[in-house]
Amino acid sequence: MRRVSDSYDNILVVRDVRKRFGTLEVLKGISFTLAEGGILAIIGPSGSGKSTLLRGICQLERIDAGQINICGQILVDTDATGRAVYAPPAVQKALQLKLGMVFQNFNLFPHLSILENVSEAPRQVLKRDRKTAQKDALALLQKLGLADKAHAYPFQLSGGQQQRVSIARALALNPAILCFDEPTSALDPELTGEVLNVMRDLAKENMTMLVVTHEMRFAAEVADHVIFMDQGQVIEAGTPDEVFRHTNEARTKQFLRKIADG
Amino acid sequence: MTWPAIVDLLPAFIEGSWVAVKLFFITLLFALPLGLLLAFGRMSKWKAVSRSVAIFQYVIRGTPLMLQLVFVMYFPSLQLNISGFDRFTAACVAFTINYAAYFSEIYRSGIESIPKGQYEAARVLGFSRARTFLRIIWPQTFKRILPPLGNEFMTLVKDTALATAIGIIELLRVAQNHMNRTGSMTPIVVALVFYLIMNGMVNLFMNGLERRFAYYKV
Repeated sequence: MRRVSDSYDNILVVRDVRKRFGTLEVLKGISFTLAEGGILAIIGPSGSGKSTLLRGICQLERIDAGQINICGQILVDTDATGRAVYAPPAVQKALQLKLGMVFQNFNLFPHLSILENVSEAPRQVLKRDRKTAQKDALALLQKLGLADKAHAYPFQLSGGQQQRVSIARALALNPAILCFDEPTSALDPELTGEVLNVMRDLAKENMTMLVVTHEMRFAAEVADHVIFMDQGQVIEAGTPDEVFRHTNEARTKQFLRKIADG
Repeated sequence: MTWPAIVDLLPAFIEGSWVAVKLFFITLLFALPLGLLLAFGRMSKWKAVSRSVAIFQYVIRGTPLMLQLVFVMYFPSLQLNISGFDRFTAACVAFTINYAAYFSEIYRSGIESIPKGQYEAARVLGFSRARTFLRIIWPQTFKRILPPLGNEFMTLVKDTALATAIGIIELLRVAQNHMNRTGSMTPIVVALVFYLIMNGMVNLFMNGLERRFAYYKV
C-alpha cells in the first residue's frame, strides 16, 4: 500500500472530504491530520457535519470525494474524475478495525452480558478463544471499574456505566484510534464526569483519540487540537488556547458564547 | 348424552385431534423457515424480489385459507391432469404457504424494529453481515416477535378445522358427525374442550419461551 510521504507521522490524514445527502452538502471539503497519541476535539453546532465526518472516517457513511488515510494506508482516495474510490474490501475491513467507535447512545447489545458485549468482537472477529477473550475483557472492565458488572446486562447499568462498557468494547479490539461521537450527550449531567474521567485516563496513556463533543471544558483541558466546524466547513483549527481564548472568528465566538450561556 | 356415551366418543375425538396436531407441527416445521426466507425477500434491495414477495403475500393473505386448500387439492388433477396430493399432504402444503405469508410479515416487523445503532455497533466491531444477523439481530428479533407468533400459533390450532373443506376427518368433523347422528350438542362441547386443551398447551409453551427471554430488557 502506498504511503503518503508528507504525512508519515500522522496516524489519520483527512483531505478535502466531501459528502452530500441528496442536494444537501454536509461536508464541503474537510481536511485535518491527527498524529499518533494526539487528541483532536471536533466542536461545532448541530448540523455542522461533525458527526457525519466521524462516521465517514469509521466507514458508517461513504464519502463522495476526498482522501482518508489511516495508519499510512489509503482507505479512500479521489480518482481523476473527482469521485471517491475505496480500497479493496479486505483493506476496508482491516482499517475498520484500526478504529474504535463510541456512540452517543452506547449501542450496547442488550441481550448479551457486559462480559459478552466486550469479548464478543475479539472472539468473532479476531478469532480469540472464549477463555482468552473473556480474560482480556475482564481485565479491561477491571481497569474501567466495572469488573463487578461483568455478568450484569446493559439495562441494569446506569448510562455512565453503559458508556464505559462501550469504551471497553471498543478498546477490546486494540484500535489505533478511538473515536467518540458525542459520548456524553445522552447522559444526565451528573453521569458525564465518570465517562470524561475514563477519557482523561486514556489520554494519559497516549491513546490517539478523535472526539466529537459538546463538552468545551473537556476539549480545552484534554485535547491538543481543536477543530471548529460550521455548515460543513472547518472554520477554525488550532490548539485549544487558540480556538477557545484567542479566536478572531466571529462564528467561533458566537458559538462559544451560545454554549457558555446554554 | 350420558358420561359413558361421551367416553365412547373419546377415541374418535383423540384421532381427530391427532390429525390437527400433526397438521399443526408440520405446518410450523415448514412455514417458520419459509416465512423467514420470504421476509428477507421482502426486505431485499432488489425491487424485483421484494415486489414479487409483496404480491405473493397479498394474494395469500387476501384470499380465504379454505379456498387455498381447495385450490391446492384439486388444481393438479383438474387443470394439469396429473395426480395431485393426497388430502393430508395438500392440507400441509396449503397451510404452510398460508402461514409462511403471515410469519414473514411478523419476522419483517421484528427485524425492522431493531435500532440501526445495533447494526452500526456490529459494523465498527468488524462483524460480518451473517454474524451480525445471527448473533446480534436475530436473538433480539425473536424475543420481540414471540407475542405475535403466539397469536398465529393459536390461530393455527383453530384453523386446522378448515381441513374439513377437502374431506379430512379432523376434530370438528368428528364432532359434527356425532352431533348429526345423536342429535345432541354434547360432541360439539367436547370438541370445544379439546381445542381449549390444545391451545392451553400452546399458551403454556409461549409463556415459557417469553420467560426464558425475560432475562434482559431493552
